[in-house]
Amino acid sequence: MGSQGGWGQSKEFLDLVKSIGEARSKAEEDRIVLNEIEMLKRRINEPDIPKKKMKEYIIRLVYVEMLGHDASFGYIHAVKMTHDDSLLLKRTGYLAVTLFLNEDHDLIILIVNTIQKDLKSDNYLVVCAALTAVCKLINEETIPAVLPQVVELLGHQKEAVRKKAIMALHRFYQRSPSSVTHLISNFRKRLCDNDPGVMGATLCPLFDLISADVDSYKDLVTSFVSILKQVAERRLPKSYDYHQMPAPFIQIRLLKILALLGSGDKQASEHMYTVLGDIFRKCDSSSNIGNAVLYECICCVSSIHPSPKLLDSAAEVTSRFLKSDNHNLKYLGIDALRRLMKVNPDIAEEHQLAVIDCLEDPDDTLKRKTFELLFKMTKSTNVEVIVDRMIDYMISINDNHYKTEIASRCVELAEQFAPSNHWFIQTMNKVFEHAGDLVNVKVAHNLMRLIAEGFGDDDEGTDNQLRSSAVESYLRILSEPKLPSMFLQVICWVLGEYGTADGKFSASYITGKLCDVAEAHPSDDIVKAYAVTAIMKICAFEIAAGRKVELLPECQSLIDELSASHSTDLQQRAYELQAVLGLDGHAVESIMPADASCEDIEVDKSLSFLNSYVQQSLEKGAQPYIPENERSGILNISNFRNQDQHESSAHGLRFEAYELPKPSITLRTPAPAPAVSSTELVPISEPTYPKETNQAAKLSTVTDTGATELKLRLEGVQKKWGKPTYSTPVPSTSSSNLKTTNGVNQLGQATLSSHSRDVSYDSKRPQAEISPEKQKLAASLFGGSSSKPDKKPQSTSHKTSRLGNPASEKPQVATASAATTELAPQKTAPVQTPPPDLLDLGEPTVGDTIPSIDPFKQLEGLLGPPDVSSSTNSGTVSVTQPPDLMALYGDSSLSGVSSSISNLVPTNLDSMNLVSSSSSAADHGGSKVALSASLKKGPNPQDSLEKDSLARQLGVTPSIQNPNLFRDLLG
Amino acid sequence: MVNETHPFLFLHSSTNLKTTVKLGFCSDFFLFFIFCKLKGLEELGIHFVLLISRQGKVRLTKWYSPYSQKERTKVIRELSGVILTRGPKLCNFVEWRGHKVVYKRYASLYFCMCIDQDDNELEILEIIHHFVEILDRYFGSVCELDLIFNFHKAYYILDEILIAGELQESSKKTVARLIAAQDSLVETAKEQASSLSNMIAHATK
Repeated sequence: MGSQGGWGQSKEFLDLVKSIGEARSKAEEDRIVLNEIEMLKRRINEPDIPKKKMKEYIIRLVYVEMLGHDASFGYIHAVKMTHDDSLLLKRTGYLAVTLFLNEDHDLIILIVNTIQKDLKSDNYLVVCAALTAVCKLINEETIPAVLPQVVELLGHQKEAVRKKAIMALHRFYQRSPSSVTHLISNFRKRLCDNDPGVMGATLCPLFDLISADVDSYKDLVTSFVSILKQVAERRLPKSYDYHQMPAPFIQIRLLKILALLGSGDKQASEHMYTVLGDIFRKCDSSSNIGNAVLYECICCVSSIHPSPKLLDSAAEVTSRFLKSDNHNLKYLGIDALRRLMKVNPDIAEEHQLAVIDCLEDPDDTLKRKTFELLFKMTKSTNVEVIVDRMIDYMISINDNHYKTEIASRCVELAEQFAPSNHWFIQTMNKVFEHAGDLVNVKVAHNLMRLIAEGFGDDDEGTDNQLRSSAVESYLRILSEPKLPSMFLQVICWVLGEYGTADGKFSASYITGKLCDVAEAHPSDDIVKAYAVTAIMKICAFEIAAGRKVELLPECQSLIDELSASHSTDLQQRAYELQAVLGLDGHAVESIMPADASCEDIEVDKSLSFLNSYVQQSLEKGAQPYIPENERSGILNISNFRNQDQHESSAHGLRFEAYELPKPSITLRTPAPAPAVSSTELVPISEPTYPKETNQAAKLSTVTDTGATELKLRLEGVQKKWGKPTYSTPVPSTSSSNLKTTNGVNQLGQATLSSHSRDVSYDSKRPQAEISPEKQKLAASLFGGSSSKPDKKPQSTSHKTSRLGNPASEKPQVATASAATTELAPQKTAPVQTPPPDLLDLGEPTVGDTIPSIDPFKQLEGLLGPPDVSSSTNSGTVSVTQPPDLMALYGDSSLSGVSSSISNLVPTNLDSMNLVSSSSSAADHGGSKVALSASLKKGPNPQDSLEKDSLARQLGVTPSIQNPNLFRDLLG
Repeated sequence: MVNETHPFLFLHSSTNLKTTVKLGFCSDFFLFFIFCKLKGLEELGIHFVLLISRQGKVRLTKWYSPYSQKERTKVIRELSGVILTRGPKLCNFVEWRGHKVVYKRYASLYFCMCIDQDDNELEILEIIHHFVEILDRYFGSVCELDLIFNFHKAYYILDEILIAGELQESSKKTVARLIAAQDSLVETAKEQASSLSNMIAHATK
């Protein structure tokens, strides 16, 4: 403990901390803090507060803010404190403002002056404190105010000041790169600083500078290499060693810089080979830090111009990482593999089983990292397995952020490598079903487009088959509750376009389904709009086919409801539907051609098809159209409102209806002649919808000609929205790939779709215990990536098994999954620890009933590796023997103990609450902890005893809540 | 005439597809915008440091990237939910909102640091350990209670190790020397202070 360890605060503060420590709920804690805030508000504004007292208030403010409450009322006092002459107070002031204020806070301007003054101080500690504040507080505007002084400090005699000045400049560079561009030579100079700390700090800004502009720093390659060499050869002072590694943090930084400099530069890379090889050889792989350096080495090797020898070493280290039991190393191994794969795609193959182990690991972090790797190594041959796995995982998680990410990855892979359209649609269905509202809208459009366009081949039959299978699957899916809105939109669109196309389903069945969709989502206007438009299409197709359309009653009521909707869009769609119903078959066929969604509409901007009509009108005495730019002097050519027409000509396409013109006017004026600017006097004519239906009915012949005109234009027009945007080459080639590799013939797969899907689903379950299964998975994942697949026996055997019959896998799989379900609980049970609350309440009661035995703590000790040795060391002391024994048997009896404790808790809970305030119990708890703590602590028992006694003198007994408070953080 | 044909253009089945495709572009733009905003954050090495006890109580927070008080509370709540429930043998890394959080448990205290996707996790883990070792040396067998009552000192030490989210000093000795220098300079003042605050404490008892 010594002089520093004492808790030099006032009783009040200690009480605050103590009461918060003992608070049993967040609400209680909040109440205490709010009281404290009230008190501080009152006190802090009193006149003539002694400075020491003020300092304490400030620290209490920091504490309050740290707990998540607002202490802004006291910020100004912290700012004032930075002005103080005493370093003690100044330091507190700076600490508080750096914690309180973000870089854009208004109060910063009040501190700049003080900082300027302090940067000039004779006392280097004051300068250091100011520089620390500079790093946090100085924003883009205030950089010029302190920049000259900071630059001057680069030459300060104290290395601590130089180092902080470098870091401050680095910060300035991050905030506003232009502010320090003229100072780059200073960074280069500091690289040669005598003090390794300053040199190490200089690497931070240099890293940023180099990553922004590699080429201007190529001359430094040799310097960096020689520094790294010296560091690796232990030329730096011993004090920079960390766990027997020479200055590992500096090594890592240098490696990062070398990776940048050597990337794509053979000459620069060759300079590095020797030193990298040395590091690979010398690095101690038994310590964490050694592995951190090795990992950085791998990153570097995979980034620079490849050297076969170094890649071998990197691969060797990677395989060591992957084989390790330590999850952290496995994680790094997977990442290293991902990096090395960029250089050498074959490297993953020999680690396939390790990768699959990681994929099936219960650790989410590891799993996600593995998915990242798989994402990178996906090919058309293994895309099915990988995407299926990803989707399974996606379904199992709740984290929306990651769900979005993995969903978009699935989509990306599926779009890129889909072996067949059918598979693509099935995959998309799954993604949409489970993450529909999280994926990008574009994905939905791609899916619709794919269904509409099919393969793009001439084979219309396959496309139709695809469509009817999509329709079938959607009709099936519709019965499921709670589908995401986006997915419903796709479903509606597809049902509208192709629902009745193959004649399997009747129009009334489909419209009924669509009505159900609209009804089930009364608040979702977009879905309703899609649904009603789909109904319209179905009806139009029926009319066009010459069948009579009988609207279902629920459909009629839906239309009635939408006609009165608040959404004008829905209203319009409803009216349009009604209008279409009134048209004859010929007209409907022209306006709603079946399966024409891929055809492009050419917009004839010049409206040439109206020429004859215009001519006619002119002959009848209508005024000619005058283009807008020639129109300045002329007013009131027409009574037509024109604003909208201008707009429409600007946009090319108008998606909302024009209001209908009064027939009389139409006759008199040429329709396409928009005239006059905004000075018009005539009020905008309101269209009336009932009229529209009439009009529409009457119009049938007129539109007819118009539409055919339009239709004629469709031929030979380049598709703007068509295939080219969608990945083109994949489907045909990859499908042939599929045929050859999997040996499943295309047609069979299509018809057996649901069946084979089930199978592959089953095979995806974790089967860590059964190696053949794993090998199969490995083969399906990696087999394709191998350049010489025949080398691996298991991969070929897998292929043959698949060749035979996909269903033959099924029984095997079933047993496998049964085995895993049996094993899973056993596996997880020992790992489980009881929830912390239960534990913490339980401990004191255990201590009371069974003196000096605290099995949980010992168990905890067992869990943390550093504690194990110390607790066994203290075995000579008689008191600890029972806990040690417990600890030894802890593993097997854990579940028993935990259950007994949880039994104890409810009964003792009340008494504990009562007792906790009484001093005797507190003392008891305290001494108990002190004993165990002192025993556990090999090196320094005195310290903790002293701390404990001090704590008790002060009346602080947090041990009741959390006996671990006294435990050494470093066992 | 035009007026009458256009509404039917709208009816044409492909039109829906296209309008929504346009929407798709909009959202893309939006994503890009968010990405830019995030990019601003990514300059830093370490975004924040958190010390949380096993009960989820906050022991120390240091934010190197700007976070509003509301965001901070949310971050702490989310992360303690994730980290405190993780089993003992799993990775010391957690992916979180596109970043990574490296954490390590010491006795009952979790040390967490948030970094970017590309950083070296194992290095950060060792920076945490470096910090703890320095704390241990300073307090003499540091325990959670030391940090509870002396959190401001822990801040001073942290400020000597990390600055603006970067490791500024990797030598324990140098850090210790600087802290000791600061302490000794205020030693005299402190002695007076402690006697004074003792008196106040007695008075307010």
